Amino acid sequence: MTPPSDATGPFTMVGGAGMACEDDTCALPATAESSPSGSEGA
Amino acid sequence: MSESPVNPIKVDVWSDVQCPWCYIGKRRFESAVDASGIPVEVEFRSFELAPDTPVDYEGTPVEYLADRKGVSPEQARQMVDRVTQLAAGEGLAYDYDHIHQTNTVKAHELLHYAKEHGRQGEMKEALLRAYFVDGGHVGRVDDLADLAASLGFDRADVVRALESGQYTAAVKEDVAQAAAYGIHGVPFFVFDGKYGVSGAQESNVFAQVLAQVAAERVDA
Repeated sequence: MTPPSDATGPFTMVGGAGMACEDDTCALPATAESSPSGSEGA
Repeated sequence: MSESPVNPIKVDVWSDVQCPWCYIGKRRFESAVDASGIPVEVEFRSFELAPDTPVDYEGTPVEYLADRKGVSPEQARQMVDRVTQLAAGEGLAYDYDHIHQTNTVKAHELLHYAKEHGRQGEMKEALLRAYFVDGGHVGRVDDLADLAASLGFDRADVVRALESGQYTAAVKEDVAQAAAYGIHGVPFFVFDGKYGVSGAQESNVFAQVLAQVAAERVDA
């Protein structure tokens, strides 16, 4: 696949943002309301 | 009634062994696959969330979280408790009091080793369980070799592969591929190289993508 020009360029994204880790602490939520849907990494 | 595709749907999953959402997302994805009956071929790709973490990091996950996030220990504990609750909802008993924060590059190398032996899925589950549930150490070669041996792998060969760095390049290739795709967060699922799902989505999202890909194959 050709590398994308943006975050998810080559893919048709489904489902929006989910709980994820984007850094080494994974943005763990303190409350349900603040829950991200993934961990984002460095 | 739609038919299942003859060939399994390829699903590439970028994730890290010490990513709490990756284990939760894995369970939700598996639930969708089981419910759909659609065959899939899963390949786990390496993603290092904290490549600068020492193998023998001293401190608890709560201390690590408080330090890295700049929050109080109480706030860090609340965060950990929250994700533990969410994991429990998926049948996963996270035990943050016994988690060993570490560097996961060798665990990723072991996943590539297992892939070459056709048993990557089994190894992925074992590593996640060891880290989040059983209080295992997934950074040290000896501990990883013990884990592999418990699954029936040749312990000495695992030690040789990990100590020689036989799969280091493969790990870095996965990391570079994620960067090239602009993937900044994990878990990140790619279906048939076409559809992307970011994060630990609910099972119905995974089911939707599986059905879409299967339908496209039937129509083709």
